[in-house]
Amino acid sequence: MGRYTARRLLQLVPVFLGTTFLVYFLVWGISDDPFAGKCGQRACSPAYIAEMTERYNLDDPLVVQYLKYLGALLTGDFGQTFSGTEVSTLIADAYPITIKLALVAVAIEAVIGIAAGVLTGLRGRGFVDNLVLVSTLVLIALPVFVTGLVLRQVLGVELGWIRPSVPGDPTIGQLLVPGLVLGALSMAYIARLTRTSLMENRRADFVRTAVAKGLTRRRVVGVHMLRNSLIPVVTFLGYDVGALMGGAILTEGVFNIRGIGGLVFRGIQQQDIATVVGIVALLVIVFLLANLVVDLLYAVLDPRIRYD
Amino acid sequence: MTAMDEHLLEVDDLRVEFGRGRGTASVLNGVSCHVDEGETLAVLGESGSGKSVTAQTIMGILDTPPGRITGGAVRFRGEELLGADEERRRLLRGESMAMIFQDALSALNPVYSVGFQIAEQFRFRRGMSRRDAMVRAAEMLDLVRIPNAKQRVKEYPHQFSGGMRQRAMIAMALALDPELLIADEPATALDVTVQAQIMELLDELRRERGTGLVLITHDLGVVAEVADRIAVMYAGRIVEHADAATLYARPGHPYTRGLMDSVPRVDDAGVGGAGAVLRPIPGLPPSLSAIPHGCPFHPRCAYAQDVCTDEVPPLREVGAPDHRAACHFAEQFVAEGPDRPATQDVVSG
Amino acid sequence: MTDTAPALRARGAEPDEAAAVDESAGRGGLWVDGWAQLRRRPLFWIASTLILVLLVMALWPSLFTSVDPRVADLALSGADPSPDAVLGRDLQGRDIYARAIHGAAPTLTVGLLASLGTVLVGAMAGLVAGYRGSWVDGLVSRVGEVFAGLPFILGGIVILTTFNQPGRIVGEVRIVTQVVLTIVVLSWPLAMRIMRAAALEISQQDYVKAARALGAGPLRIVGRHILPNTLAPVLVFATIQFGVFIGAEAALSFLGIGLRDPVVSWGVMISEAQERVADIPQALFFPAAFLVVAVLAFVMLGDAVRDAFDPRGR
Repeated sequence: MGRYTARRLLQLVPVFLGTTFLVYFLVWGISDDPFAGKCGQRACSPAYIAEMTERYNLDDPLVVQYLKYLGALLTGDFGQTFSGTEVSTLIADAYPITIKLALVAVAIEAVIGIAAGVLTGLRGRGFVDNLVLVSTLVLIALPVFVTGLVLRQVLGVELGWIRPSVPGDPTIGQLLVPGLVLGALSMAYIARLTRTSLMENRRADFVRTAVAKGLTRRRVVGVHMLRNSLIPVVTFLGYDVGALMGGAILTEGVFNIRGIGGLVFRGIQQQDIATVVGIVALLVIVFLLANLVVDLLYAVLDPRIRYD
Repeated sequence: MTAMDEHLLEVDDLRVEFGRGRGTASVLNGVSCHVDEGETLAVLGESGSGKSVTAQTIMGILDTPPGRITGGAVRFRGEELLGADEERRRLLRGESMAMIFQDALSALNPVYSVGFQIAEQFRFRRGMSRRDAMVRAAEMLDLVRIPNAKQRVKEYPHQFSGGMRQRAMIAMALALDPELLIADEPATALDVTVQAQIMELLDELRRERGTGLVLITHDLGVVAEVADRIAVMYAGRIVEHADAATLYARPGHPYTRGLMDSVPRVDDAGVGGAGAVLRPIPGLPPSLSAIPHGCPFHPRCAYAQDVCTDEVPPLREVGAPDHRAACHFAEQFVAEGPDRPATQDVVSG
Repeated sequence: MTDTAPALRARGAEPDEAAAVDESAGRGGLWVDGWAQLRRRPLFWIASTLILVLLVMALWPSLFTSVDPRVADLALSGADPSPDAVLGRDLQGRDIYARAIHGAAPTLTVGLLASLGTVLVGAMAGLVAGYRGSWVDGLVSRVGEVFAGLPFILGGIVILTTFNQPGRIVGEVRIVTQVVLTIVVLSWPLAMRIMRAAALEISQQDYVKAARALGAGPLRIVGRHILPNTLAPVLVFATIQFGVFIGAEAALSFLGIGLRDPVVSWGVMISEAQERVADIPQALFFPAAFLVVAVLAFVMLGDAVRDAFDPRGR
């Protein structure tokens, strides 16, 4: 296990470098004039250009620029925006909100998705099964921004149940609807995964053995069927935590949540290299580490999986 | 309450179907048999003959649907089980009757330790604490001669070898000391030497504990050594039933003869000798949704006559007491004995 | 004595009782069975019909409407549905129904090209990685992770804003190509993983080892054994992704970085409608409905196909 973890961590290094360099190159390297539009209508003053060139090492070749940036990043220095704000401050303000939103989303999708999946997986074919199947199809087909816009309009503007625009430091309650919107797609997948997994295990030999041992139905289902069936579901949830923390841009945009999504969106539009690459680096690390944790968790949940 | 002449287990005219409508398969077509305490009944037959379904129906673990019990009775110590409520059946399972499955790897839950799965029964049927139950589980593993039982009790099924897994399966079945043990192909998936060890272990435990054993197998070699009585199944029916010695000496059904002929035997193992030729039964077992009219075996039978295509032969006494066969010409076969050269011409002709 | 045993074992080799019933399921059998399964599913027919209607809409929009989707009449801005414009008019007074009909073609084009591209690039990469193994596999997998590590929307924003500064006016063909390429670049690792897993699994099968032992070359093994066996999962993937990519195009357009005026797509319409959604809800609602139905149709079709060809989920 230790060696496996070490090897996986080593594998993360090239992926991390590749992703950050790719983004660095796209945001910085391709544009002809990095200062176009930076200073409003006028061209930037030579002093400003000189200062920025110094700050971002623009005289160096792109790779050297990148490496210098990376070196600073590894010491925890995310750099500054064009206007001189520390990027780390921006991230520290925005990221907790995004994490909160992602966790609310995962909690909602886990509770509702697993409940729906168990309900249909145990009952088998019938009205409830069809209802859940059709609902999951619709959820999968609904784009996040459409659900978001409609819910914001109906619940927020027309019914007035929620605030259409989430305040700067939102409570869990204020994030419930955005969380539902963000988690809706995964909720559908979880319901289906749980259902399929239960259906497969329902006829498994070891379930039959458990029945033949004279265990109560409750124990057969709760201990022998559910535990086995939920292993893939738990791993999916784990991956999703990693994915949602980086995938909340649309939801944050619709509900005007001041999270990492809005930050990066503005950063890209203003070509604010330090913000964009810093956030991408952070998101990629979180995503990759989440995947690693899930893989390790998988070995804990299923003793057959051995990493060495 | 329990009369003296009651059997430990009695199956009477059991009928089971799978599916509905035109695709209905008649899996069991009137199966009757019984087992007494301390006795081994071997149920012998090819794949698809209904052996496993019989076992599952007795245990009450048949999947319904697709299965459907359409008639007959299963009595345990005189108590009718098919009509009994599910809670009563559950209490009998494990406590009074237990089952050993063919493939221990898939029959044991992969995510729990072997000990946990044995201990479950002590915890939930005997009310033991988790720790005491694990100690008892280790004792059970010791009983089935798993070395280092105390350590291995914490291991997972995939960490056991095939033979060890099957032993653990046996330990699990015997945990609550049931009176009836149903072993569904307990050794089929194992190496030959391990097979013999498992069968020996089962036989020994049965003798020690006075358990009635139903041994389901397709393997004549296994049956010969341990069975008191043998029931041969074909297409959901018992086609012959006798004590082991009689069956081997004077099989009354051509199918039984066929099974014997398709297995090499020690006494004709002369290398290259004429007797070493195996004679497999021609053809395949019938589809259970289209069982042939008349005797279900007639399409594969070298001796089939007109009567065989018209009439289903009943299972009736032929000669020796308790020797029953379902063949129109059973008496002739019994008289003839398993004298193979005499039948060879007919079979190949 | 000992030589009796192997024979006994050989006779017992038939695995279980049910398997004896049907032995005729070869590869041809799989496709025939799958089609037979498919034909009996109402979901399949509903999805196919919807897709057919959408295709006709994309190819011959004039069958559905004769109104020019670009004609704006500011005097009619935000008009409610009426016989004049069945679904009402948007902020600029354009006919929503006509625009939604004309939005089918760009949307479906992006979906089609993106899923074709993803499958081609991804499948090739996966095939090479899974079949060659060793360092090739390592390299392809790492490169895949680089692209998969970028969250889709984030990656899309970075790429598309880099090549088109916000507000710049770009040609129709150029922007469609850019959106398609962006989706392909960010999505090919998905198809790669499916293909790689399948290729790995199949090249471990005994019959492939046997073919290799008999001297079959890599092309033959890939062509005869691996491709036919991976076709079903890749097809299912492509169908479902078709729907997902339609949604992705809409999301990028919604952010203002995907398709844009003068191109009409449902995502563009939703994007334009979001500011004034309180006043002109129909401008948001109807294109959203078209979009959802289209995505739903492809997801349903993919679902039905998967269920028909993969009996485990039944």
